This record gives sequence, C-alpha cells and structure tokens, in this order.
Amino acid sequence: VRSKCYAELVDIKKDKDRFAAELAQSHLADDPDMQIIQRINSYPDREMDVDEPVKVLEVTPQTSNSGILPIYLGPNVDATYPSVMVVITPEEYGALKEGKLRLPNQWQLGEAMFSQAAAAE
Amino acid sequence: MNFAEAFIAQARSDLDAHNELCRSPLLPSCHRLHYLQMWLEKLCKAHAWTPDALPERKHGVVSKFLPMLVSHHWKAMGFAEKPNQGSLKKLARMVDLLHPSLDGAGRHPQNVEYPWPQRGSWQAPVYEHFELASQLATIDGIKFLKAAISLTHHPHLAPVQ
Repeated sequence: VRSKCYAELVDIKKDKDRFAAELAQSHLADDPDMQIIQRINSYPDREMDVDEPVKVLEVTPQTSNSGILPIYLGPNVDATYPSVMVVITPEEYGALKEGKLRLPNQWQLGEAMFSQAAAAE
Repeated sequence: MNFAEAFIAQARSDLDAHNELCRSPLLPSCHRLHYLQMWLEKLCKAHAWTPDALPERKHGVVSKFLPMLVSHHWKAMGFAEKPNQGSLKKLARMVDLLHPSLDGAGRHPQNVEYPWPQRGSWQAPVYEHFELASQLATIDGIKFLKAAISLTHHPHLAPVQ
C-alpha cells in the first residue's frame, strides 16, 4: 500500500510538472518579451495535493505595474489542475527578490522554468 | 458606504467566491464562470451606474464598459501599452453571454445557470464546455483578468461616476 501511495504521488508531481510546462510554453509562444517563468510553491508543501493549484510566476514588460495579483484559473477540458498565475513586471520581480514585494499565503519562489537571459547564452 | 462602494464590495466578494471555486478539481466550470460573470457585472455597474439613473437594461454591461475601464485603468497606472480592444471586447462579450437572459438572438443559448434545448434534447450547464474557460488561460485572458482584479481592488484608478 505504501509503495502504491508513493507511486501515485510521483504521478501527481509529474502530471503537475507537465501541466505547468504546457502552460508556460503556450504563454512563451504568445509573449516574445517574456523574461522569466518560475514555479511558486506552497508553504508548508502541499504541491502533491490534487486541489493545490499549480502556481506559476511570469515576468514580462508586457504587463501593468499592479503589484502581486494572483489570477485563479479552474480546471477544464484543457487543464487537469487548478492554477494560479502571477504576472509581474521586471521591476516588480526585482522588488520581490529584494523582499520589498511579497507573495501571499506564504508562497515561495520555486524552480525556474524559463529565463530569457539563460536562453540567450 | 455609497452606491459604487457597495457594488465594489459585493464584486470583491464574488471574486473571492470565484477564486475558491477555481480550486476545486471536481466542480464543473459553470459554477466559477457564474461568479466570474456576477463579479465583472457588479464591477462595471460600480463604475458606470448611478443610483438616480439606473438603466432599464440590467445585463450586458461587461462588453459595454469593461474594455473602456481597462484602457483608463492602464493609462492611470502608467502602463504604456494600449489594450487590445478587439480581444478585450471579445472576452467581455463571452462573459455577458454567460447570463441566461442574453443569448445573442438565439445563437448562444449556453449559459451558466439554466438548462437549454439543444438538438432535440436538453443540455445542462454542468455538462457544457464553455470556450471562455479555455480563453481565460491565454495571454490575452490573463491580461483581461489581471486588469479586472486590479480594478476591483483599486477602483479609484478608473473613473467612478
């Protein structure tokens, strides 16, 4: 039973990673100015829960300087999981890294999915 | 609390309810889209209506007002890009059509509240795939939602009558 549970958790993680990658890919294709795409993780870690949204941060100059405004999206025929998008400007990303802006709900920045700077190297 | 403040307060609560419904992997999309429609309708009414001059038409206000509100809002925030009005209008129209009283002259009976006749049978909102649910996850959909959320939390950055 234990190994089955572990296998299911691994499947959920893989599935969520795949879903996040598809979301990022579709937004990258439509925004050539996208600079960074990064996962956001819950704290304490609930990322293995089916009802914990896949959370993605996008950094682009093609958005307004409005602060951190989580955008909730529900699952549907194209999306297995609920998701949250946080779209900010490069200036806001700098403020986030410096701690001047904070993510809500104790969320924390997770692994990078895309970096324009790294892609250009 | 004045008229606009009361509508904004209710719009904020509708937005919170929408966000909560988004988290459920089991609930059909019609429920969260219902709250999306109510949220955006009240947001637009807060900005566009006055208590002493209520228009007869009570629905369909999202496509009429939201694209203009977003333009004003972005300008007030110093965002140089002009919104894609065509895309905003299309999404706003899709939101309006979620209400059962608007069916686009019979072309769009799909709505988020009541069943409708379809090909000799009946369809229920819980079984319907609403194209808007997919469109909201696109870049344009995200911009549309972000502007609406910002307007809901910062209504002073758009002209309130």
